Parts: sequence; structure tokens; C-alpha cells
Amino acid sequence: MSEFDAESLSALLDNEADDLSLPRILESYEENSNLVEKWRRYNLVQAAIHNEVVQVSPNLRKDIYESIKGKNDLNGFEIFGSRGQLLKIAIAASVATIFVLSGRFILEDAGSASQIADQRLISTDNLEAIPPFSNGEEYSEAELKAQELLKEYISRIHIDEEAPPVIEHLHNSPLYRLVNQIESRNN
Amino acid sequence: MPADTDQQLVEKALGGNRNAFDMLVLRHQNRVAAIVARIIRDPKETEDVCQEAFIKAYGALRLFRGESKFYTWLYRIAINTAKNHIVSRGRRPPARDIEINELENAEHTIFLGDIETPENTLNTEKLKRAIEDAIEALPSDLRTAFTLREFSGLSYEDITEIMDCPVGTVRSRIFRAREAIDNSIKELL
Repeated sequence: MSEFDAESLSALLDNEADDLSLPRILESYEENSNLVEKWRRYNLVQAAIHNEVVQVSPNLRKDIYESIKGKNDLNGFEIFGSRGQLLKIAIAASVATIFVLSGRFILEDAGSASQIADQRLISTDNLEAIPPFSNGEEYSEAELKAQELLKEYISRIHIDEEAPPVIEHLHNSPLYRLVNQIESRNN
Repeated sequence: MPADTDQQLVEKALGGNRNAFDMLVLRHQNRVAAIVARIIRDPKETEDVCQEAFIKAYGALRLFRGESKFYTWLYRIAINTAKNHIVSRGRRPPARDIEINELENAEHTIFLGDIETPENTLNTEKLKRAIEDAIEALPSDLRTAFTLREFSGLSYEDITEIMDCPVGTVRSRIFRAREAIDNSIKELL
């Protein structure tokens, strides 16, 4: 080990090394047992000076090294983390899709409400032209109110094709409540 | 501007460099062992718990956000691992929580004789005495630079001002002081 490397170790110990020191040290770390030993002793002395020392067996470090070598590298943890995120997004997307499709199906049963949604996708400027449910049935005051709420809700929907669907707020929406009401009535 | 060594090592380890994590182990193993030994109080189990703590830290390294110092994060893992170890053995954990600050400020030297390792025959008191003797024997300029750094915790830049010399000289003096101490203890370990 060169004196230059040893001096770099000393600076690293003090958090005073430049950015190039560590990559250079790490490059020769594996082949240079003197460097590893010096790093160990420097740290031991520093810990002893500050009364923070229990000397440990050299096997401790080797056992730890072997254990982490046995594991996948840390990218494995990252991949696992990303998979977890992907899984969450996939579940959220599936729930949203099922919710939208089932909602549409139920609304089709109830009348031509799906047309309303389709019209919303085409134009948001023509809400007054949305026809009322027209299967010839009489509607109660509550149902008419629900239709109003539905129109109002649809008018507030903003679809951002770039963003993933967010569905949590739907549970509090008039549309969600309306679909549930219709569904429970049909059952 | 010098970079924090722990932070640099963590970044390298996260990039897949296991040697960087090995350097972190060597940097902190004695302090972690001292903390664990205070909680476990069974020297034979101390190293196993230290090992477990470091492996846990490696697995969770990506969760370290750098908002606190790395050693604080690591010591907390070590404390929790030690406490869990005690509970898993059906023993009672410490009567009150041991806090990081308390450990940092306390004198918690454990004699090497308490930790039986065949490789180590020198106890900590002897090691400390050897270090003190080596520091005493240093030339004045090296001793001053080393003492300001190690005991007063000053940065190289601060020492530069105090000693009125370039930062490269400060760096070199501290290094030469360390080399002298290292040479005096190397044979004892």
C-alpha cells in the first residue's frame, strides 16, 4: 500500500477526504489486505481514544461479508421494492377498472346513464343536453335528485390520461352512492 | 468540500459495492460491539448480535435516507437487535430504554478480557495505555494537530487556522501521527 493511500485512509477516517479518494481506495481494497488491516486499526484506535471500544474477532467482519454475499445484491431489494409498488398500482388499477365496468353495467341496466358518461367523454360543455333516464319508468324525487347529483359529479370529473387512476375519493362520491342504491334496489 | 465518509460508503454500497459495506463494518464494529455489550451483558452473544445488526442494516440500507447520521441509524438498529435478542432468550430487557445520546456520552469501555477472542490477547486498558504512550512520544507539531483533531474534534480547516499552516500540512501531520500510533500498537494486536 502506498503512503498516498494510507494518508487517504486517515483523511477518510476524519471525513476530510476528497471525492476521488474513496473510489481509488475501493478499487484496490480486495487485493490489498494491508489497507484493510490499517483501516481496521485506525478505527480501533479512534474508538479506543473515545472509550467506545469492544474489540471483536476478525471473523465478525468475514462472517458479515459472507452473509451479505449470500444475499442478492442491494438491487434485489430495490427490485423487490419496485415490484411491491407495481403490485400496488396493478391492484389499484384492477379495482378501478372493475369498479368502472360494473358501474357502467349497472347503469345500463338502470337506463341510459352510460350514454351520459360517454357524452361526458365527448363534451363537457353540453351537460344540460344530457337526457334523463328514459325507460318509461316514473322516478321518485330522490332518484331525480340522484340524477342531478350524478350530472353534477360528471361535470366535475377530470380525466388525466397521463396520471394513474385515483379511486379512493370515489367512495364518497354521489355516483358511488347512487350505484350502490340502484344495486341494492335491484337485489 | 470534503464529503462525509459514511455517506459516501453508503452510496457505494447501494451501488452494489460490498467492499464499501465492509469498510462501514470495520469503521463501526467496535462501537457497535460496545453498545451491544452494554445491553446483552453476555460477551459470548455480543458478536452474534453485532453480526445480526450489521446484516439487518445491510438489508435496510436503501431505507437510510441520510436525514440522520449513519452511525445513529446503525446504533439504533444495534440497540433494537440486542433488545429483541434478550426478549427472544426469555430474559428481561434493560429496565429502562438505552438511548443513543446516552451511549454516545457514556463511558462504556468493556475490557477485552470480557470478550473472549483467541486472536486478541491485549485488553482494552493496555491498548489505551499504548495509544497514550504513543501520543506522548509524538513530535510536538504532530501531537498538536492530532490532538486538535481527535480530542477537540476540529476540522482540518479549523486546525489550519490555529496552526497557521496549509491544509495539506495538517492532513499530513495527522496522518503521520496516526502512523506512529499504528506502528506502536500493531505488534500488540
